[in-house]
Amino acid sequence: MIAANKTPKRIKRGKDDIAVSTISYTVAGLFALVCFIPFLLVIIYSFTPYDLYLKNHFDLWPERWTLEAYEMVMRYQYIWSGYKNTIFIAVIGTIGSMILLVLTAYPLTKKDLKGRGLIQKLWIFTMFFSGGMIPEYFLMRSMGLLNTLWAMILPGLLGCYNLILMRNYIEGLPGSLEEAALIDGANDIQVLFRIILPLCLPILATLGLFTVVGYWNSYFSAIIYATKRKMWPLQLVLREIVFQSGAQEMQQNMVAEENVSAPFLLKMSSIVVATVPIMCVYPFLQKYFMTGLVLGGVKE
Amino acid sequence: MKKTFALVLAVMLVLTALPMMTAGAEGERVTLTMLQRLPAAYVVEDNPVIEAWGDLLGFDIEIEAPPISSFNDRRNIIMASGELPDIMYVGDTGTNYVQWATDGLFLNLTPYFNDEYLPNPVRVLTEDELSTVRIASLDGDIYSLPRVQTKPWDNIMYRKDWLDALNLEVPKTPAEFAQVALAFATQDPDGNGENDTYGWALSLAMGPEHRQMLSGFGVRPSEVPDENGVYTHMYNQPAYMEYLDWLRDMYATGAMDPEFYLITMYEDDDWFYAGELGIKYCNTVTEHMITVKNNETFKAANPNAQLVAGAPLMKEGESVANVYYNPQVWGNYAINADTEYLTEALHFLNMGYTDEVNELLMFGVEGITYTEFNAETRSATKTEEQKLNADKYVASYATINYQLEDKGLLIANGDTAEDVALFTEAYNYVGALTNRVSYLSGGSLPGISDVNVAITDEGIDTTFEELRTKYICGQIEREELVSFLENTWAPAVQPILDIYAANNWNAAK
Repeated sequence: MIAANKTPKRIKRGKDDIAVSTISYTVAGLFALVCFIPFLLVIIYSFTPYDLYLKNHFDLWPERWTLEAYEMVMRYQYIWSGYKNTIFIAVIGTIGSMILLVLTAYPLTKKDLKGRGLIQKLWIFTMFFSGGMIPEYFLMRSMGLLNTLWAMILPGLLGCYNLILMRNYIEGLPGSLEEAALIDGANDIQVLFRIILPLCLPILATLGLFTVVGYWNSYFSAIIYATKRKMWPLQLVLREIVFQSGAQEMQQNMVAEENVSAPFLLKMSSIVVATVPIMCVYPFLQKYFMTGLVLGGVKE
Repeated sequence: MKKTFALVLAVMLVLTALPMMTAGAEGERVTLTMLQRLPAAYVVEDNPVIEAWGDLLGFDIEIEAPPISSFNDRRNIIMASGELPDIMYVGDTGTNYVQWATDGLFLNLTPYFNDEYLPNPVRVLTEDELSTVRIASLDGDIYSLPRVQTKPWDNIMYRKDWLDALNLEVPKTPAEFAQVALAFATQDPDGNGENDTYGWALSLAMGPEHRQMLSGFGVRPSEVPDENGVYTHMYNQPAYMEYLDWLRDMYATGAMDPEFYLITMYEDDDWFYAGELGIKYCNTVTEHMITVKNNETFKAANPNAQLVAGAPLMKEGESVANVYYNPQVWGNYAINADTEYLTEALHFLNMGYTDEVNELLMFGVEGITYTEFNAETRSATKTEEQKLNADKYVASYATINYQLEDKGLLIANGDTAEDVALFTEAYNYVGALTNRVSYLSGGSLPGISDVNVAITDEGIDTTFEELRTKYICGQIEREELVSFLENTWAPAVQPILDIYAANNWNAAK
């Protein structure tokens, strides 16, 4: 007992360990820096006066700071409707996606589910083949979903890739948990919502993050299904701002009267405006990545 | 009795209500739907200019404006779905356009292209311009009308303060240009004591053959025969090699930015604004011409900077620059073959070719987007608020046509009388030194694209581009490039020249 309570001696680290740690930290630090500097530059550019940017393209601390680029962004009327649309799409889409994921994945973990293999094959089929743009457009039109935000939410609501991850995760949970609940008199619904669902929070947080980021960044479905500009999501508005139309017209051998090319700093501020809100979501979900796979249960 | 009385009352009610209902239906305005390509800042909903446009035409206009960056995707889906709006900005005069017209999606405008239905386009459009929308495989009929761009004077902008500092004049010939460029690169024109300036930057992103430069050497487009009726590809003309020699010399002396090969689209604009370049050539974009907008950008970075517009380069000993222009078409508009509102759609297109509609779409509504409009100079003064409104409600992209007869609907840049005067002076100066030589592009002639595909497949064009760049940079000798042009390039493009000859293409130009 006495020996057990003694504080263990610190293991002395050898030169090899220190060298490996030094190299590891250096490489990881440099890599982190390489990832971070472009984003830092985008933020700094967005606050830099244009004349200073012209004089020095790589100034990490300009002499003066300005909000001019943000004022220009805010003048775009569709920025605000874009924000509203994107928040709706991301929130409703993510919640809906998580609900459908759980409700679909859990039954597929049941080996006695009739037609389980066929259902899974049908799901996997959609990973490799899609109906194509035009048939999907006709489908949306026949469902009366053109020019609605639902057309941007529903097609991506339940992806097969996420479904496989979710199913595998649930299959990896200790079976004894479910057995114990069933012995205690719980039915399948109660098992799902009281036992399985709480244990799925880490995977839900992870997939939820992927989904919300996916919806936040989505724009192509709006190009196809939205004919009114007030239905555009934020990313589409942003894409329009940073786009240079002159290049496209030159490729088509057309002669444009004017080129629609936004100033560089406007592009930078647009990127900040479009990415900062979704970045704010990460810290709240980060802890779930660190959490263990099993939050509680019985010993095997 | 009661039933009869009730019946009589009901009949009377219907009879009295009927005229009112009919009157209501007659009073309702037709709504014409339209697909249009518009920039991101343009606000479609509750746009007072679109409302005024509808009032002018006598019907409402409902515009679908897909993202400008993905316009073609959306347009293609509309075409595939078969649910076309009444009016379509097609933005294509090539294969897609021909196919859609062949499929019967567009109305054949030829029967309507007369003084009864489309008098304004008939008056405005030249046969050269119409040739861009005629479909040879459909009896040469017209299935859309071209939006012809303002006839611009391609120009070259110079730093006037640098010219003044070095006692130099605006150059007119290639030799003078090279001299000025070298002086800008070597004589510290900004007076900061540092060797940090270049004369100019050749932008390959904007295409290596710039009209306003080639004019200084007398290079003809491949589609244009010489005085003996012989077609020679542009690259095989002796004058083209003189042009490359000229570039090579400027590269060697340092007059030209040595990093020209890496310039991306519009990147040289930034360098010019930053005060690193003293010369900037401007292709087709009228806005570039010595505008106040550019001046404002300059003033921020270079408070003492001044700009001056120069003409395209002219051959030694000539008094004007002969610049070759094919029809300057900026997209085209078609009518849905199944439109319910044919009369309105024709009226819509017809009115699009008037000053009235052009000015409305470009300048907007008095009091909202401008204070005062000067019809003579085609310019408007604006308050700060009106400038912001103008960004939302008007755009050159919204126009149906851009030029009237041979005059050109010049829209003067600038928001004040002083700005407009500056622009107009530059425009007139450049125009006086430019002789426009019109010709037709031959790219749509049958067989041309097949030859071009073969040239690309064999890598001949990429080899030429590589050799050309190496030659400009002094990495290969002249003989090597000339040998390639004579022995490889010329035989490869001969079928194209044969097609031009067989069609007597541009023979009268």
